[in-house]
Amino acid sequence: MPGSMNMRPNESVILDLQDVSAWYGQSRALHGVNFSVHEGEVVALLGRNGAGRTTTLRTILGLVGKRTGLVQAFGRDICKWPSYRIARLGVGYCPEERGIFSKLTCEENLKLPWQIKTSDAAMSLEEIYQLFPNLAERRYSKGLSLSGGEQQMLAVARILRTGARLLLLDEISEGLAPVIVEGLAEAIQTLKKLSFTILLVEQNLAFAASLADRLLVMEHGCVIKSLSSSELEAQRSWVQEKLSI
Amino acid sequence: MPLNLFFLQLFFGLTNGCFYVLLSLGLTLVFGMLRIINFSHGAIFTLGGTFAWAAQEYFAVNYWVMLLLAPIVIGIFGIIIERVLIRRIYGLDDLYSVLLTLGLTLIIDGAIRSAFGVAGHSYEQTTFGTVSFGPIMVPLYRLWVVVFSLLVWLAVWLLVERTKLGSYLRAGVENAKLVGALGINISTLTSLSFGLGMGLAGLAGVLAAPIKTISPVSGENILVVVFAVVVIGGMDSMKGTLLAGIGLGLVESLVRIYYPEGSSVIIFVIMGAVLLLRKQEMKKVEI
Repeated sequence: MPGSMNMRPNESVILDLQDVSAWYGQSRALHGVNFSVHEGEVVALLGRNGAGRTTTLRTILGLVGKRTGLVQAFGRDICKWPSYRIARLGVGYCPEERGIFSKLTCEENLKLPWQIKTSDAAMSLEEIYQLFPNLAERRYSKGLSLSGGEQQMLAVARILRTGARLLLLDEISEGLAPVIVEGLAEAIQTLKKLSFTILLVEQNLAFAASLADRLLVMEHGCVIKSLSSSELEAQRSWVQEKLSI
Repeated sequence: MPLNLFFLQLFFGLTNGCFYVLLSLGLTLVFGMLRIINFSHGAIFTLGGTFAWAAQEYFAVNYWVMLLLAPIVIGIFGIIIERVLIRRIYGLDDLYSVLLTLGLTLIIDGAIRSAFGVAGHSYEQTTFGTVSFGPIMVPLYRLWVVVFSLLVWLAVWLLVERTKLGSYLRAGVENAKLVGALGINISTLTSLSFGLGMGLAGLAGVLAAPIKTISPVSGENILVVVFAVVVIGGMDSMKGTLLAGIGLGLVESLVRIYYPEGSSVIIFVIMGAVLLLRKQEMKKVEI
């Protein structure tokens, strides 16, 4: 596959997908996806709607019907694992629709996920509220009453409480005001400095490009190109065409 | 009708309402988490009452022991049923849950008939008397049923609304797959929910045994009413099932006083009216 795959040969591979295919019922959604993500990397999955980006994240987490191939996280083959075991291994998921539970308060949503006891990355509530001050003000509000931006912050904050070191973020900038998107980008930058490994699904090329070390372009359920952040400028028009921008 | 008899009849209605509350609570829990309409709920109510009666009849186990033991045993039975049978139909058409749980009903009822015959059984209890509130003499046991049922409702409400396990249940009702992706073992959660729902039905059966004749048809008769309570109170509202259960028990007894022929029908008339009203409200929202 073209492009630079091994940006950091000396850093350990946190996530590895080899020839991964996935189905929703009888419908095949992924066709032999191959890529790996190294520790501390931010990798963006780009592509049009229906390219298979969200399905790739859901496949990693075991949220699809059937999957084949090799999916390894933290050196463990997780292809047959149930979702909760994958999450407890250290994989945090921020779904496309934010997934805030409307009948739980902001703080209940934060406290809901399983905390990985062996992880030193788990943030306390106080640290979360320092990173996202808006959430502190809304801690007792029901999820249903939060704005879109607050829900998105909550969805990201929720997985930071778990101690997950590999974060799967699905279109976190979608439908948000620019100032909120800027705040999220700053939060991701902070996480990057703290050596979190992040796989980011994005439609917003500018947002993805500002954060990612590497960008993978998907089409028809497979990765067709891998670009480093430095290579993006030279191929920007091609990428934009693939994203239908 | 003399005033004391009037209030006594209302109190009987309140007691029946408490049975409806316990049963509908269990049904709501099961439907909320599993999206299964559990037609075996009535049979479990019968099973609880029969279990209490048989333990007293054959092993001289007293009521208080059975009040604790029966829901636990039936709850464990419910967990086994969920693991072995119910989880095989998740995600399938609703018809499968209807068929499976109806089949369970027939098996449980058939087993009870085979073991203990088709006639009903009465539980002997002599430890309760009556208490007077002015001119009204109220059977102490029924007062106990009302107080205990409300305490059980409160305990379940606190579990669901104020504990971490409860937050898992509330979240699981909204999006069970996402709860799994956040590290919660949703499989264990669904088993526990089913067990708790069944345990509540069994508890209602034990509570009912001293004042109702428990027979294989007891469950069928009460289940139809409980479905009406759940529809009126709301499938996802514990407060709704409390108000609906108590309210319908009282209405049923009031109608029994003045028009006995209508007492078995009134609940379904109310259910029909509520459904029509809700349909009207939904149409207004759409417009």
